[in-house]
Amino acid sequence: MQVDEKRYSQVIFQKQSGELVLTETGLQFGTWQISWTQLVKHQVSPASYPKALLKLVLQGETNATFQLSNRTDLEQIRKEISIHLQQRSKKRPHSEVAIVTYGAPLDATATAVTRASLLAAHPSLRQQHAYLVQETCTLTEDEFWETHQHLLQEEHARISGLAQAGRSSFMQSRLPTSGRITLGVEEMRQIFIMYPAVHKAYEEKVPLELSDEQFWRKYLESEYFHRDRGRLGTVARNHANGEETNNNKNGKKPSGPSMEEQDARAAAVGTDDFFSRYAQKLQQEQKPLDHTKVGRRLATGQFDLASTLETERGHLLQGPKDNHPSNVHDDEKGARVIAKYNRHWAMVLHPDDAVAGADLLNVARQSPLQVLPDDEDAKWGGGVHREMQRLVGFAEATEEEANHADGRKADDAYEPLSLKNVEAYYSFKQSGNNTTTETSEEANERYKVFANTILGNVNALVQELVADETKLTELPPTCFPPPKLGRELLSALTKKMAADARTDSASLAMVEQLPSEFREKLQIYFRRCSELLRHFFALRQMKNSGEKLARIVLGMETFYRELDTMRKSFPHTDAGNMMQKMCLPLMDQLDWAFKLHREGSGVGGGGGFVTVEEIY
Amino acid sequence: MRFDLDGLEVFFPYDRIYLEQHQYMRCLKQSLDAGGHCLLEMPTGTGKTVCLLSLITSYQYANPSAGKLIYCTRTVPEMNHVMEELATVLDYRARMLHPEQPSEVEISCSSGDMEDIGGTTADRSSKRARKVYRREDSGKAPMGPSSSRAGAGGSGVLALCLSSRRNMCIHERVMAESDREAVDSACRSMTASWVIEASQKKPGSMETCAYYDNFQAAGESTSMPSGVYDLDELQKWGKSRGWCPYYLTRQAINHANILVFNYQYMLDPKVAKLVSKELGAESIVVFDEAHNIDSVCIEALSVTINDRGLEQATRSLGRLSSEVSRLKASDSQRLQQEYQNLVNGLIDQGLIQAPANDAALASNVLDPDVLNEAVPGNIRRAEHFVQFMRKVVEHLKTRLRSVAGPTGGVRSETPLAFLHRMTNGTSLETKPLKFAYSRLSSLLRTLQVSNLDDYNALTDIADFVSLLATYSEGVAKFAIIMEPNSSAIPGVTDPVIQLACLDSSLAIAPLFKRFGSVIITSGTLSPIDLYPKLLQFEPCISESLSMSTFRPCIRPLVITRGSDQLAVSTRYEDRGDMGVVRNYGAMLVELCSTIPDGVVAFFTSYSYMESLISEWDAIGILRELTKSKLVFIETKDVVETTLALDNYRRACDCGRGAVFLSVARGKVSEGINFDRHYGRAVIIFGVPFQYTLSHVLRARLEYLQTHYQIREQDFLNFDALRQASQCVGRVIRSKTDYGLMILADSRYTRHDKRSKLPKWILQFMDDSCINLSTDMAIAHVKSFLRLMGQPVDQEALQSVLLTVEEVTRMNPARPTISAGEGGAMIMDEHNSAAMASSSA
Repeated sequence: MQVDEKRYSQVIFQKQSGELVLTETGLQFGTWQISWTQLVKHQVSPASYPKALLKLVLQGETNATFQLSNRTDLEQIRKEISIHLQQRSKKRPHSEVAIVTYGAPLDATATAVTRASLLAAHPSLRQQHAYLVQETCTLTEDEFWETHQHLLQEEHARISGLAQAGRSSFMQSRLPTSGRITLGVEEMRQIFIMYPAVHKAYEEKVPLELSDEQFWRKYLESEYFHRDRGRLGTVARNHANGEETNNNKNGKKPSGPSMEEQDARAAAVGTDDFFSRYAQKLQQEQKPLDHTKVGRRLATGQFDLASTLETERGHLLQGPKDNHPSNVHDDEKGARVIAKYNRHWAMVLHPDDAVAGADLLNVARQSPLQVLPDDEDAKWGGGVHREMQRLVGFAEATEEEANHADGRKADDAYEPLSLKNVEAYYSFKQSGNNTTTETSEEANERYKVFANTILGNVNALVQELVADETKLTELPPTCFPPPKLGRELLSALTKKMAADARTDSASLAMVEQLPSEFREKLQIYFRRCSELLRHFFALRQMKNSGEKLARIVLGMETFYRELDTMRKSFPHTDAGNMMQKMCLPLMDQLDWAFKLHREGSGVGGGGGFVTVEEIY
Repeated sequence: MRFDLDGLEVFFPYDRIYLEQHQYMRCLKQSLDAGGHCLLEMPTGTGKTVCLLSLITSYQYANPSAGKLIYCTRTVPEMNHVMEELATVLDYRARMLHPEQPSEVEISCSSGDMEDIGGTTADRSSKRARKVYRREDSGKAPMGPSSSRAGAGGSGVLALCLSSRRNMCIHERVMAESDREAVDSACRSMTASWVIEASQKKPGSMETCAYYDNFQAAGESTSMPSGVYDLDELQKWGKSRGWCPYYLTRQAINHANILVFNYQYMLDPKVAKLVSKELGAESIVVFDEAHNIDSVCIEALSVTINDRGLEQATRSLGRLSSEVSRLKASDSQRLQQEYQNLVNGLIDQGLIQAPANDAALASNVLDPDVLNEAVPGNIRRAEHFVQFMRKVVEHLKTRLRSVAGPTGGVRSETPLAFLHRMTNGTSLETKPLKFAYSRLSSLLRTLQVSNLDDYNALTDIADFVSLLATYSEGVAKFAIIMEPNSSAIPGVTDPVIQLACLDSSLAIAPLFKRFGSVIITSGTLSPIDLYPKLLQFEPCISESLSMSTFRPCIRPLVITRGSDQLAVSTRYEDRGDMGVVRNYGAMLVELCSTIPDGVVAFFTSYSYMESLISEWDAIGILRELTKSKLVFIETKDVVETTLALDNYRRACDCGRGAVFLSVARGKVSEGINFDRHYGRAVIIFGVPFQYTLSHVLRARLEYLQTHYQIREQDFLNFDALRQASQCVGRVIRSKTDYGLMILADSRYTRHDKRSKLPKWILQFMDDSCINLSTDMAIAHVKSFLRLMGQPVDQEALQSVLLTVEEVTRMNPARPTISAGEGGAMIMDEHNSAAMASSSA
């Protein structure tokens, strides 16, 4: 935490020597006060410059230059001010920041084209647009799109073939490794882009089988999430540190994931992970593209260059060889340009045929990763190098799809390392096939073991602290709960979780019973609700939005009433009760929004509407 | 039309004929009559294939003693195209001979088939007079067995094509394999003789191929009805009978009249023995698109050995020796049997085909020792031979290490010196080395190895030493070139030993010796006098035909300067220059915005193309280019290139226009046509020289200089220009087509380069077209396109097409001269007179 005041003596300002004081509210020199809100940015003189100067740029284009006594002071004050400024900028509404980070505004034609193409591509968006703008006139056209600025920018980039960079670091900043996690709209969107499997799961499961909150909770608990966690962090840090990491690269290897993370990952093992299943499904869908037989009855016009190359000594027949040595340095760059232009036609001619030859989806997904320099980690899965992909595919293949020729999975002697059998690498190795047949008792048992492990770690930590710090010895032993209590608490929690986590098939079966029209309706209501809430929270953060906000609230109220009417119309049967229950989360969310609106203050959950707290 | 050509009745499936087609056939006939070889150059897109086929089949019909027609193509699509043409020709002939079958046969204006000589469908239908005779019902030339006409008169022709198993197999499981080697080994594992034996002894113990079994069961009764079979048709026929098409075709070669297959079946001694043993000396061999035949010949006899190969060979040897000891324990009888065979000599064992009492048939690829003598005693025993090969491999490894080592470097040795060091180092004799290749095949056979591809590296080494030992004496026709680093990746050393064949006549000489008539033809064989020197033969006819046109449908332009008057060239010292890069880019953009539809641009090499493209991307030229054309780029990946080509055509079809950036020595530069709107212009950036720093090329140049007195620069120019003319030749495929040929390099103005272009291109190149700057060229382009954009003048078009009457007039009855020997010389004189009269 910040110390409340920092003092720097022998500071010269306008030929007067004095003391510069940093407080929570601002800077103070003598009697002159500068609050943090006034400060726009700060600059320091270069190291080569003899004097240690600090220049503060204030609002209204005025400057103030201070001369500090030495360089160390200057460095320190620079850091202090930076921290203050950062804190301030963090408080700014999320959506605003996001919009600013993106590229220049689009011109009128581009906007129109992009909007049209977006609406054409996304049915749910089209629905929202129709409902909010055309039917109910809750929003004007521009207002609607304002909140979809990201989509617009991205679509525009996709159309014009630009690459976007540097989003993952942004996401990293919002996902601390433990404690409270706030998922905003932007984070969710990032997750969806990064992991199509999660998107697919979301589309299919929410809100029928799982509520929005349940879904994200499940995601954060799943091994799918934990698997790449830390990797992206590394990449983002690499990116942020830029050259520094490049220079140090040979020096030391990056250390593995922290203890904390390891524990979290261990806890994730064994939770029901439907994301991996979706990922697998997606992969399977893509498979036919990957393994097209080279040249055999290639369904492309009259050109079949491969059939000749595949005859006995095909190289003889290729005609004269290009013996020129390839210039390796340009290779990568040239190849990328060539790949880009060889796929360009798809955008122009037949967007529908685009998948025939060019895997545009993949290309689009890769592009943000591709531009990060030296990101060895990011090559995982969506990787840049084919070889890397091959190797990863190798390690991940199940026994059924093992295929040596395609580079999936090795010989039988090799056991693929996946998170499913990660226990094999821990001390409490369980014998046999722990992944398949596991009763709930066994599961509970295992959860207990996990809990104990974690607890053991905590205990060790505490003891270490106790041993080291004399100050802490004063702590009464009651300041930590007795180990027994902790253990009980954890086991109770895990039991509850185990009981609570209905299996997928159970919830699916339940959902299947519901009438399909209700399901469709709920789907629509859910999207509308999300959209309205999104607008609501976005507008709340903005100044001068009273009128619009009022309109949104009005829209929400209408919607609420509509929902309520529907809810009441259900019959009092089992199914009816269930349907009523399923409407409740939506109404709760709206209720909460209304409450916030009535109070007219309070800090909402970022730009979004779902707040998830982790259990420890 | 059916006309008389110097006493030979020719069945030509169109009712009109171009003058050069007539001349071409006449040359062919003269050379067939004289029983000599010939070298013919005829412009692309004037119907070379159909001329060849209709003349030779007519000749076969008239002279039943004439042998088979063996037609060699380079690519599988070309092969299919030939089969299609052949079906048309034979169908026409059958109908002319048997007009009493009207129900099946109708004369129709062809529709649908775009690829033959007439040009587009639209072009053709506008040319009322030029009809092609095709059957109406299928719309396609008839393929497959012609049951109704079998044995009737001369139409009972069996025409087959042969390709690898991968293109012919019909077994589901084998077909599921993707690459050739996998298909081959899957097939062998089910069809090898020992597999068949084992399964006969104990049915069900081994998986065999039902198609092959059926084929074997049918035995000698397998015969194919006459007809034209392309690959699809063979597969269909095989399926219907339950016979393996691959083996069926290999057997049917014996009684086929026309065979179409790849060059390698004739030129590569290892493959050639499969098929060529059955071919009689009177056969007529045709090499189509043969402008690169010397390179193919050289490749066929060159072997490259690297580290990986040697390691693999060591492993193979290990496997062999364990196989040998296993066999010794289980079935020593078989090894003993092999030993006996080897004592008797290779011919008796059937490993090498006996040369059938004909001295002319002896291959000069194998030493006569190998053919006539018993295998030397010290490699007769299998384990001794394995030991022997191990020594060879170890020695090569040492050599390779020394090349890559600190004192190493690029070294070039004669085979004799290399062999000397090898025999000294390993205390092996030279003679057994000659037998290495044959001995290895024998061993592999004895050990019943079905997966021959595992032993590829070892086979290569055996091949290497056999060639080395055989050709060590006398004039060094090979060179051993050892390079420490052949890899393109810096920091990775990949040393290689290359046995480079320097003399292209070596591989082809047996053919010239053995067959009466070898016809080498292509669209670009200029300068035509170089080929006899390179291939060491004496053609009895060597002719370069020009193009008869009704309008100047080709416009070659030589651009030497950019718009800023700076000379453009890909000369090594200039190519990195920003001015050149920019000028080339601006040139491409300007041309692309002026020329409609498709444009093809060729670069001198992949690396140059890649670097130029990255530069262009950086300075925004490609973005500029996309305004007028979609951009497609050739890559080293075959599938991606195929897709790019396909989409290029689509972009041209829909009118968006496209530019295809390609490499002059790449896969697209030959065999893919950019006719009509698919290619309104071809641009060549630079002169596509070979990589002159290549040591192999240097050795070859030296050899050509000392033995054939071909100067280095002459050969390089020749090689570059034939490549360039191949590239520009892609643009025009028929007479109603038109196209620009743009040569963008200041060096093209020089006489030594320009004069090596084919005659039919030079005939359109006047002084106003050379030494242009970009803006001048644009003006030329505009005026040319305006002129060519006009509708085709039908009258003028008719004037270049000869009718039957005109053809007959050109060939007045000369009863004194029969179609026999000596006729050719007299006809020649007459020929020129006829030409003069017709052009007047």
